[in-house]
Amino acid sequence: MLELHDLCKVYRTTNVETTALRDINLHIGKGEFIAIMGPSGCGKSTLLNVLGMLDTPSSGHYQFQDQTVSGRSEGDLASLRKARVGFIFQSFNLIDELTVRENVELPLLYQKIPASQRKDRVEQVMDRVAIAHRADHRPQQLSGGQQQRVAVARAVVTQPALILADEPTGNLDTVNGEEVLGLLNELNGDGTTVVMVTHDPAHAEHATRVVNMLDGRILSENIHRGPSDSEANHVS
Amino acid sequence: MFRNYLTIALRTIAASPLFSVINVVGLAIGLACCTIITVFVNHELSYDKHWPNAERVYRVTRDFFGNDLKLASVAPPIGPLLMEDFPEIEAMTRILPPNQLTLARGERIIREERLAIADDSVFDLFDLQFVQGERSSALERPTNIVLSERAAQRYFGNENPMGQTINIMGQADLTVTGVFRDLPENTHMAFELVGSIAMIPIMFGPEALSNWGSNNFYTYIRLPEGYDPQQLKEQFEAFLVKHRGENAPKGTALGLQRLTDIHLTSKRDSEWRNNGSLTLVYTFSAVAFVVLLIACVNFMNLSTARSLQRAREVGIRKVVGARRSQLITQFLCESVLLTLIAMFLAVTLVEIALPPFAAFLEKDLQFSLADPQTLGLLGLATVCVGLLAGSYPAFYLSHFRPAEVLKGGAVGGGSGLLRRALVVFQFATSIALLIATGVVMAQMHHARSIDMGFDRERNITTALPFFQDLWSTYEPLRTELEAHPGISSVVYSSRVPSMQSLDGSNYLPEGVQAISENSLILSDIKVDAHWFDHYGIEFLAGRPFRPNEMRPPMPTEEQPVVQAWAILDEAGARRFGWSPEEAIGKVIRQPLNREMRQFADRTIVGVIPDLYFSSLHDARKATVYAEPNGNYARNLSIKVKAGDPSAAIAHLETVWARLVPNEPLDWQFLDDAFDARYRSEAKQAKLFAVFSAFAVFVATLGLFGLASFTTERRTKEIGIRKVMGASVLDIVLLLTRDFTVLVLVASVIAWPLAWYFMERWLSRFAYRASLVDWSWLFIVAALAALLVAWLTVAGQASRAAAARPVKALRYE
Repeated sequence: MLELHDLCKVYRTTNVETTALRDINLHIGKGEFIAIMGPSGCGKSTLLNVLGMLDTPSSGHYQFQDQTVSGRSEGDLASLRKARVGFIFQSFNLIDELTVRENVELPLLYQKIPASQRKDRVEQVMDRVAIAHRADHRPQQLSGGQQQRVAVARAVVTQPALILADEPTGNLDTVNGEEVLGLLNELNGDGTTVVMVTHDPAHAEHATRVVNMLDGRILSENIHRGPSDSEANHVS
Repeated sequence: MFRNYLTIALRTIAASPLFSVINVVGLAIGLACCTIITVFVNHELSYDKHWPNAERVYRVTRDFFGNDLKLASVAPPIGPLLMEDFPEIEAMTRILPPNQLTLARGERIIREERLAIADDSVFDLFDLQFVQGERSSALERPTNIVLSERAAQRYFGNENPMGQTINIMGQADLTVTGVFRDLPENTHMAFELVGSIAMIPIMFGPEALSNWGSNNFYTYIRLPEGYDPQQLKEQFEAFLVKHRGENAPKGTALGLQRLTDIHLTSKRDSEWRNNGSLTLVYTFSAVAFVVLLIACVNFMNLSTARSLQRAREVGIRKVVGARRSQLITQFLCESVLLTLIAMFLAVTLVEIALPPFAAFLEKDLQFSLADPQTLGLLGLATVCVGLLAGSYPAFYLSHFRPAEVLKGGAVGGGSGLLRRALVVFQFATSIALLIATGVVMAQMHHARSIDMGFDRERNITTALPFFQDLWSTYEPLRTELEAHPGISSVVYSSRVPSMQSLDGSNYLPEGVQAISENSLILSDIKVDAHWFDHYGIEFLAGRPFRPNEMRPPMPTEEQPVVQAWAILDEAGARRFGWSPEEAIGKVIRQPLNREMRQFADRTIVGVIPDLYFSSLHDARKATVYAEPNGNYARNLSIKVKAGDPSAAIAHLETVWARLVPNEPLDWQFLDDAFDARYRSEAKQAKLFAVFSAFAVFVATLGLFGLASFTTERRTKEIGIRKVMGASVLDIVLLLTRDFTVLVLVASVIAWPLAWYFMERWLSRFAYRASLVDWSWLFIVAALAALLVAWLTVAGQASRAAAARPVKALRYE
């Protein structure tokens, strides 16, 4: 589903050049649940942004569902992204001025989905993440866990093929964190590919594969075969 | 999608009250100023456009080179002769303008200012609509008169005016033969009653309509479609040669003015009334636009300054699939919505402010939301202003990259340089407007305080009746009035100061016998012997008239040259090539008729300084002062003693009623008459002050908002500095320093601009204040702007600086 070959990302300012990603080679298959781990500043989030087409690589090749991403315009990327990728952030990133329902509905508006269909899909997805009872509240009126459930609802309402989650439990307590991970598992169980950045090895356990990063490189990939049976697959 | 934009726009507006109020109030003031000025400008531009074929109608004008007269009116023979010589002229009418004639209806005597005497073609040329009577025959008899509906109401109330009579100056009864619809307010003409031109020879003598020296008739002609008026103008010189002789073009010229240009561009002597001014229209349009622009700049500055708050939203929208164009549309919708709210407030402000504004300008200004054109224009203005104000923020905000902003990456808060430039623009325009207001007021002060060469204090002036012997009216009036202890002196003159000096004569220097290139045209003012003393005029050489010099003999066939006397002003003496002292005892010859058969040889007995006779608008004219003459206008100046003038005025009224029983008394203080001459400038000054205040207020609002956001953004820095030992004053100075620099830069930009434009404005006055003398105004304006900036910023800064640092540090 996602193919990355020799992908690099370099940030340049007048005086400094920082390499955030170096020679990344990665294949992510349909229906996988990938966890990306590594210390702060190792390039996890940059990789996630590149995967989600929020950022463009400096060099290398990136193929998303058989379509080449490199070299596309901002508008093209937006079109590609909006129907196929859902995002979940650590800090929820809900629009404070909109209600829960309106926040969830937002991606559908940009996809020009007719109003009646929008309504049904929003209701369905809010039920699924158990936030329907708060539909008319504003984000500030919700707990962190509830806000993240709204963010999950917004991410899945377009029925994307890929969900990218950037430390989705980072701002949540254990109970709420587990709840959100449960939701991600559920979605993955339904066939949605999930890529999640996390610091927490326990949360990474939910993934089918763990990608470890250091200094912009992929250090290793661990494939989880089951809770007690894992195999390390070191990549040089 | 649009509903989503609307929802978020409304909630954003509600969630940021400071931002919203500053923008809505600023834009509302800007839009209200622009709307009011647009109504005013539309009204000014509409003058005389409503007449049929207005674009083909021209007014004939006449210039005299000698005494620098540029008349809006011409001599009565010119119109008919033009018709005769140029058959292409389709129609012509002459109108002798109203000139305070006494009309009586039964017992009621009215000093009528709205009676015009005209050719009957006036009705066709201007297509005046008759509600009673026949337009074609209404003025067929010399004693017919036609009234406007307003005049009919004024004279006859609800009675039918047709066939009724009005007495004119005790001379004749005029029969009302028609009533026409009132002239609209937006015309340069002003009349409500029309008498027949055939009345003039009866009242003023058989040659009154063939007199080339009586340039009192407004003459309008209609040219054929597609005819170039220049073609006619080029033939005027030959026309003058044909009718007035070979030398005529050396002393006089004819011209044409398009009817629709008169109100805004004509500033001739003897206009119907004070015309408008194209400069004023441009100036106020520019000022109103500047106020609106300042408000738009507020919107741009505040929107970009608070981009931090919107950056995350932009990021989220982009993440969920928004294209940049969609975000631009969203932000533009927001700014248009905000402008719409401002427009509602602006319309309310216009409804409140327009009536007093119209009353202040004495104009019939109309603004109605029921008019679809007005509504359309307001709608268009809302969209345009919304797009203008929202364009930069929309493009700026929509460019954020989601990957950066959602991680809390740095958001600049707009281009700092651009925002500084915009603040400089706001302050530069505000400072320039403050300076302009100051200079306009300085010129007013100059006009009021300048030594005009005579003492105008405590003078009451009034006009004497025309159809009575001058001396038999004047002498007894003077004797009785001067007997009152509250009146110090009473004098006659053809024109009193504050009036335009429009009369002129040819004068031949000593030794020259005929009118030739050596003749000079000088301004004429007729005065009696005490006039100079009355007005406290000092003599540069010689002496005032003696009483025995006031009634020189009239020339006769046998004695065609009479001896008389004259007093010159310094400019007059200079025209003859004499110093004041040299002029004394010299003789100048004044031809008394065109045939050059009769002359007055005037011995110069005195020379006085040049007087600012009419106003500072008009250059001082070389003038000959000579004895009273009944053929000239007749005016009385009454000097009252210091103290309460009411007893003297009561005495004047009693004496007048007894000695001039058929003439109503119409008096005014000379000071008021002079003030009236500067009325337009006084109003301009007030309007300037009001608009400048709005501009400064809106700019200050913006600065307040900006300072508030800047302070908020620097809260953490303030906290750290305080922990490091900075005092409240240090912090306030830190935050005000940036704005101080901006205001200083604005001053440096505003000063030369204001200097240039105000020099141009002052050049309209013949006698003007010097900008060098008033240069301190430039400093004061800059200091005022600086003070406003300091107070605004320091207020915010001191609050932030006074907060406990731990709070500030926790904020982040």
